Amino acid sequence: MKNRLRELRAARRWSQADLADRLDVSRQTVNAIETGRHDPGLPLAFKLAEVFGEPIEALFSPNDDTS
Amino acid sequence: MTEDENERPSRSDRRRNRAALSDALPAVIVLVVLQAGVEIIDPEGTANTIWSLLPLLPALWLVWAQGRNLGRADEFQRILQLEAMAIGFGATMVLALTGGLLDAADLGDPRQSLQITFIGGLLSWLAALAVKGRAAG
Repeated sequence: MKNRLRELRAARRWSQADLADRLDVSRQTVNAIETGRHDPGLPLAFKLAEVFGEPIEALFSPNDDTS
Repeated sequence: MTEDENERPSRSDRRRNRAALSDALPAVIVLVVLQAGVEIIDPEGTANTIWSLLPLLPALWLVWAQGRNLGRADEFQRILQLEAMAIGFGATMVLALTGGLLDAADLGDPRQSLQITFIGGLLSWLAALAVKGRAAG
């Protein structure tokens, strides 16, 4: 799964820890999602959508090889 | 935003670490004190059995603390912890089997094998957690 987290976070000039604070998760978790090592579950995906004020489908998209 | 800011732990990290420490530290202290007491004081009969098994209480306390730590973890941290525990469990099984095979062949000392199994399993678990944590950034 591809995501736009890094881009959206950078646009707001937030560090990974700032975003992790808003999501109430570990900084490592934010890093793992940004680098594609972890695909978040639905509750966290909805929280991300709420934090960035975007729908989930605007944050995540399937990899080219899985679409 | 600097690299240092990206390395800073989140509030959730700090809260979780503090809670884990306050859950486990008293148990570790009690365990060390009781273990030292078991080595020094050596009662007779039934009292000896009870006294010898007393360090199990703080050990069970540590199991409870680990369960709470797992419950507090977010979804990714929980995966990391469970994977590390699986590696520790696998290492413990292999070491226990090795000890059992050596014992069956009348080689080695069973008490020593048990200690190696316990310490080896614990170290494998902690090493796996450290390596996976580092790899996760």
